[in-house]
Amino acid sequence: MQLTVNIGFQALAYASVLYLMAVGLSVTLGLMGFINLAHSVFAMTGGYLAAIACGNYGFPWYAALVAAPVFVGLIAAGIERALYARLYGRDELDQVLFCIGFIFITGALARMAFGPLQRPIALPNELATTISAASFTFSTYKIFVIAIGALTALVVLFSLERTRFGSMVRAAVENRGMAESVGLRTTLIFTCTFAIGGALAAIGGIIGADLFPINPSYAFDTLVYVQIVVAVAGLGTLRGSFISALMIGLIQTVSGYFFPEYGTILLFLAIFLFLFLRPQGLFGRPGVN
Amino acid sequence: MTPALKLTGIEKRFGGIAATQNVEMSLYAGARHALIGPNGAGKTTLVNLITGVHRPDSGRIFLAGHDVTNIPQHRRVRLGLVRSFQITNLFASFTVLENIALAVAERENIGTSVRSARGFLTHIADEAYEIARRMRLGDVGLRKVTELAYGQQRLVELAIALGHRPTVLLLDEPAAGLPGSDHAIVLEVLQELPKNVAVLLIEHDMALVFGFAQTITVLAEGAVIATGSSAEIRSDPQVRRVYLGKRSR
Amino acid sequence: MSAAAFNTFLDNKHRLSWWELTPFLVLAILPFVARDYLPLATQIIIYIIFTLSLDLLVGYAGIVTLGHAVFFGIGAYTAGIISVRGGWGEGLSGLLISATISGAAGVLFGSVVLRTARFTLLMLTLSAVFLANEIANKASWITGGVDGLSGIDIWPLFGIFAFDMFGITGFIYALAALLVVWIFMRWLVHSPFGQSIAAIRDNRSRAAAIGIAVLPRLVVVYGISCAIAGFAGALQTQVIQFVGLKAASFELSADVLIMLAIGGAGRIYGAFLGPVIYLAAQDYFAKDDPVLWQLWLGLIVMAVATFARGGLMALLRRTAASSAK
Repeated sequence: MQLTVNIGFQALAYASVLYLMAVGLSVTLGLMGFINLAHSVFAMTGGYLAAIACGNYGFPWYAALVAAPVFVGLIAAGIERALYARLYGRDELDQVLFCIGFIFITGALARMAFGPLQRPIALPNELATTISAASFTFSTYKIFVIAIGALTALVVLFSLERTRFGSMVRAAVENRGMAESVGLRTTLIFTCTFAIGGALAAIGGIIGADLFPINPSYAFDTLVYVQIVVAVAGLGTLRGSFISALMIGLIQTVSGYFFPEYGTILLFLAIFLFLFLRPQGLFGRPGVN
Repeated sequence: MTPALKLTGIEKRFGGIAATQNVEMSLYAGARHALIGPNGAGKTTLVNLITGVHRPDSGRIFLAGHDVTNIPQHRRVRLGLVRSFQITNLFASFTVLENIALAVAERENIGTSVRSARGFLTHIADEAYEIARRMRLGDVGLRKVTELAYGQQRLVELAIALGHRPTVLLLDEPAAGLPGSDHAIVLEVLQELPKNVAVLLIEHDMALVFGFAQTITVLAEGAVIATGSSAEIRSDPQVRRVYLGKRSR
Repeated sequence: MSAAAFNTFLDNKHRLSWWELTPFLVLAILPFVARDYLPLATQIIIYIIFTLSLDLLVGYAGIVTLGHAVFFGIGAYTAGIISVRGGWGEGLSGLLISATISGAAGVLFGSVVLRTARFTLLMLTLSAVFLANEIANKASWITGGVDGLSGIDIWPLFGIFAFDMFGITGFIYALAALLVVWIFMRWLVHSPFGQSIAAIRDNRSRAAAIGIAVLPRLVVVYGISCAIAGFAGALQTQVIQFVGLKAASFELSADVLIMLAIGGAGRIYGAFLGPVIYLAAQDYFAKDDPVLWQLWLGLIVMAVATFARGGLMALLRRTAASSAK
C-alpha cells in the first residue's frame, strides 16, 4: 500500500512536469500543424533564467517562477513571428530540420554562456521539507509541483471552455479556414498560444529541474519525452495531454521502481506498441495527422 | 447482359449524417450516364464509395459481376474501375506525358519493374503520347504539369484516367473551375471517349450533362430521387423542386 | 511534338551524365595525392552510403524518419557480433549478412510503421531509435554496452589484402562498396519502380487511384533502404574495427538527416555532397571548438531549412539553369 501511494505520488509529480512542458506543444501542433521538436528550448530557457537569477543574483525563487515564464513567453512570441511563421505549411523535412538547427543553436549558446555543467535551482527552505500524513511521508516540493500542474490543467481547461479566447483557439484548431472566414485573426491566435505554451514550458522547466536537470543538452535530452506526450494524447485534442502525461509518468515511475535495470526500454516499448495499435493517440481523430 | 457496374443498397453514414442512402444503380458497357444533384447531395461520396476510398456501411458493389465491395482501391483500378478527381490531383514533379505514362505502366504491371533505367519503356511512352495527343495535350507533353493552365491540367486529369483503358470511368466534375469557354472542349473530349467504356459523369453544367448523357440519375441528400433519360429528367417535377429553379451551373 | 520526342526526353533525363562520375574520379586519385586524408575519406564514404539509403526514403519516397540510425546500428552491431562473439572474420560475407538482417528488420518495422503518416510516423521512428539505443546499452553481454565492441578482426580480403594501418585497404574496400551501392541505387531510382515511388511521394491518393498498391511498395523501398543502411553500418564496423552506442543513436539519425538536407534530398548526388561538406567542416572546426561547430551547424541547418530548400544540389541546379539562359 505504501508502495502504491509512493508510486502514485511520484508519477503525479512527474506527470505534472511533463504536462507543463508539453501542453503548449500539443496546442501548437493542433493549431498550426507544425511539428515543433524544439519546444523544450523554452523549458530550458526558463530553467536557466531561474537558475541564474536565483543562484547568481539571489532572486527569490517564487519571483523567478512568475517572472521567468513571462519573459520566456515574450521571447517565444518574438521567435514565432520572426522564424517559425516562415515555415508554416512547409513540408515535414524542413520543419524537422529547422527545429534540430534551433536546438543546436540554443544548446551551443547555453554551453558558451553557462558552461557544460548542470545548473541546479536552489529551492526555498519551506519547500525542501517533508510532510507526514497518516503513515506516509511526502516531499513538500513534490506536493507543490503537483498543485501547480493540477492548477494549470484546470486553468487551461477552463480557458478553453469558458473564455472567448479559448473558443477562438478551439475553432481555429477545428477548422482553420472556416475560422478565418468568420473573421478570426488566426495569426494573432497562433502567436498568443505559442507564447503561452512557451511560458508554461518555462514553468515546467523550473519546477521540473530535479527531474530534468538544466544543462546545455536539455532540449535534446527531453525532446522525446515531450513529443511522445503529444503523440500519445493525439492530434486535434487540446485536453488529452494531461491524461497522456499521467500515463507516461506512471509507466516511467513504475518501471523505475520495479525494473530499474531496464532503464527506459519498457517505456519506449510501451509507447511504440501504443502508437502502433492506436496511431491517432488517446483522443485524436482517426485520419487527422 | 451483366452490367459493367452495379450498386445495390449502398448506405454510408458519417457520424450522425447519412451521406448515402440506399443507392441502386446499374451501368452497362457503353453507358453515358450522368449523376446530378445539388451541392452536398453526396455525389463525390458516392464516387469515393464506388472506387473504394470509403467502405459502405451496407450494400454491394459489382464490377462486371465481380463483388468488389471489400476489395481495396488499387485492386479495383486493376479490374478497370477508374476515376478522375474534381480537384486536380496530379503528380507534381513530373511532366504531362510522364503523368500519363505512370498510369499506363501500372496497367501493364510494369510499375514494379526494374527492367530498364530509363524511367519508362518505349511502348509505354508511345502509348502515353497517343493518349495525350487525343486529349489535345500533344504540344505541352513535355511541360511540367505545374506549369500548365488550369484547363489543361483538367485534361491531364482525364488523360491519366484513360491511361488505364478503363471499363468503367467515373468522372468527377471534369469541367469544375473552368471558364465557360472551355466547357466545349470538355464536351468534345467526352464525346470522343471509347464506345465500350461505361461512363458515369458527375457535373453541374447542365449543357454538358444534356449534351453528353443518355441517362441521368438525380441525387439529393444521399438518396436517388429519379433516374431516366434526359427528356424524362428535364420534365420531372420532383427534380425541378429539388433544384428549386436553379439554372445550369 | 511526337512520341519520339518523348522517348528522347526520357533518354536524356535518365542517361548517365559525365559529371556523375566525378565523385569517383576524385576518390580514385585520393590515395595518390592526399594519403593522410584516407581515414577521413573512408568515413565520408561510409556516410555517403548511409545518406544514400536515407535519400531513398526521404528524397524519393517522401518518408521523413528520425530513426534511420536503428538500421545502421543493426548492421554495425551484427558485423561486430559476428566477429567478436562468433569469431567469423570474413569481410564480404559479414557485410552481406548484416545488410540482410538489417533489411529484414526494415521490412518488419516498415510494415508496422508505414501505415501511419507524418507526426505519428515521426514519433514511432523517434521512439524506435531511443529503444534501440537503450537495448544496445543494456544488453552489454552481447553489444558491449557503453564500452562497445572492440577487437574486431577482419581477415585479409580474398586472403591477400590485409587491413593496414594507413587505411589504404579500408579505403579501397569502402570505395568498392560505394560503387556497388551507387550503381544499384541509380538503377533503382531510374527504373519504372523508382518512378512509381516518386509518384507515391508526390501524391499518395492519386497513386492508389492509378492502381498502385502503396503500402507494399513503400515497405519494399523501406526494406531496401534499411539494408543499405545496415550495409554502411557493417562497413564502418569492419573498417574502424569498433562499434559503439553512437551507431544506434538519435544523434546519428539527426546527423545523417542534416547531411542529406545540406546536400539536397531526392537527387542522389546530394547524398554525396552532404557528408563531404559536413565531415570536412566538422574535421576543420570541431577540433578547435566543438561548441562553436555546433552553433555554426545549427545556423546552417536552420538557414537551409528556411531559405535554401533542396540543399546544395538545388542551388547548383538553379545556377546552372540561370546561366544556361
